[in-house]
Amino acid sequence: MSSLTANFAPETPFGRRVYRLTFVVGVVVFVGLALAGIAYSLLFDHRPPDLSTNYLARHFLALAEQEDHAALSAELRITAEIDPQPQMLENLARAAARANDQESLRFALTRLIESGMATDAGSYLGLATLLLRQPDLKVGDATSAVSYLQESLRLDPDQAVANNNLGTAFLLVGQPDQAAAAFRRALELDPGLESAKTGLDLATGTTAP
Amino acid sequence: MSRRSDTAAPERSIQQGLVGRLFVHPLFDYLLIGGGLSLMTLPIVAGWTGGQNVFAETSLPYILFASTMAHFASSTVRLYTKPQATASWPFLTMVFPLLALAVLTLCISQPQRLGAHLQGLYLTWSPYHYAAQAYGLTVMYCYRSGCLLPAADKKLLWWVSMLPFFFSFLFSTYSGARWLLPAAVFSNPVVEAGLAAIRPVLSVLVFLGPVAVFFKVWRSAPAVMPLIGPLMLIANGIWWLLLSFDAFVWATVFHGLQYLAIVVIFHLKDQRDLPGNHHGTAFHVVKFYGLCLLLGYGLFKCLPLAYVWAGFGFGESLLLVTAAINLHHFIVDAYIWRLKKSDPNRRIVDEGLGLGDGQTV
Repeated sequence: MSSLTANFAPETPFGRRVYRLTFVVGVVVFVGLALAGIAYSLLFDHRPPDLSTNYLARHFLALAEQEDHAALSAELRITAEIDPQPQMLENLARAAARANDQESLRFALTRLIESGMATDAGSYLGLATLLLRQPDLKVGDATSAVSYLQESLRLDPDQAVANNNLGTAFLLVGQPDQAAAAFRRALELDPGLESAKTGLDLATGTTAP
Repeated sequence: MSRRSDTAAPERSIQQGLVGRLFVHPLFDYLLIGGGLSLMTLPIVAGWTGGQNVFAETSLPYILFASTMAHFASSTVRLYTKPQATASWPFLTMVFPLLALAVLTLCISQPQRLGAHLQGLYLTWSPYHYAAQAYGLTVMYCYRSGCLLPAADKKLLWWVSMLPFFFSFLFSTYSGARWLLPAAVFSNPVVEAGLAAIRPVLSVLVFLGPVAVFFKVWRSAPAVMPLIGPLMLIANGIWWLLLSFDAFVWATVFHGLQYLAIVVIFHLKDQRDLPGNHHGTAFHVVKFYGLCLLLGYGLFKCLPLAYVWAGFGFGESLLLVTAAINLHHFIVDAYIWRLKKSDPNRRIVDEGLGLGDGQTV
């Protein structure tokens, strides 16, 4: 790296002037930006930037309190793409679900699961459900949905909806026996679940698909 | 006759050698620079005490300001207060600041395409930077204490110092290898099994490695390695392995304290040696630290709000300003600690070689 600086050392008076000018511009820009930050805080917050304020958390909380789910989902999406921490992704998943932002919901759940940060059954169920609801569903998506639903049920076995969705996923990958077993389990947990009754009929051949 | 007694370095007792030649006082050096303070407060910050983490609620913002933010600013303050810095590094001192602001603005304007990679680079580089600092300080204390490390031991020490970085690179959930490679690579069963096998081995090596190097140096070098060396390496390992969820918060706090302590010592030496200096130690220390706090406030607290006012989102403005400050610090650091033969600071490192008595300067 020291050879790099040697190469960039100005050797003519003009080069030295350019360097000095660049330095002055850099200092002016930085000081200007810092003062602009203070001015912004004074104008909108009526005090200088505060050490104890977490501006990011406060901003997201304000959007959530205004119930502006679309804006919150969009801003959390950008933030989570820069810094995909578990808490950020979970917040994004919640905001995206409320804003019906399926793409961001899928992004959040996929990142949580792929990075091994998802520890709740709901994340796996949510992502599997999104996959199964796709208009252009492919076999690979249904196979992924099966594994996500199995993981969701491993974490919380007593979910009627997850068992029902697992039955649907098994039907889509052509495994009617496993599908029937999953639908039966769903009906054990929630005997009134109509989609599980229909699914069981389909899986056992009682009703034509 | 033992090899140790053949050395040209002055005779020192084993006890003196183990303590090492210190900068200020054993308590200051071992607690702040050595990371001893981090080990003492570890049960509280890691939440092992069972109660609420008192640091996390009310005092953490002020701890971050006094340590982390001031530390990031201190490399810039040091760069512009170090004698001859502008002549030595014209590009770094004059062009790089504006270039860094331009890159930051570009990344904030393209947060998903560019900003995410700026963040990935910062999070990946951080553990390397901390490991390199632990290595550099260990070597410095060895030299100051008359322990001339043989080339093989120095190389081994470097590899051992890098172990926390390798651990973070491989196992961090959203930086390092996971930033560079697609997620599908890590769901491959062979890769999963390989990483699962490496993890416990690397975890043990992070803590046993420094002990092994210490005894290897004991056997091969002309003098013993001061204990502050392995302490710094183990402390860095603890920050990255045991404080996994809060590593980037607490590692920067403790690393910041370590950095501020050492940079103040070097700054003080320079300023006192300047012809015409009439000020005492307190003046130089307070002035330097005050400038670090002021610049830290401007960088971390004011700069992001300017970008927000310009119409950019809170997320990208706050996160990417922090990432850019970190990267600027890492790059500046790579220059300011390179001590050429002619550098007056080299004396601070070398002076231990010819001295045998006093424990501090």
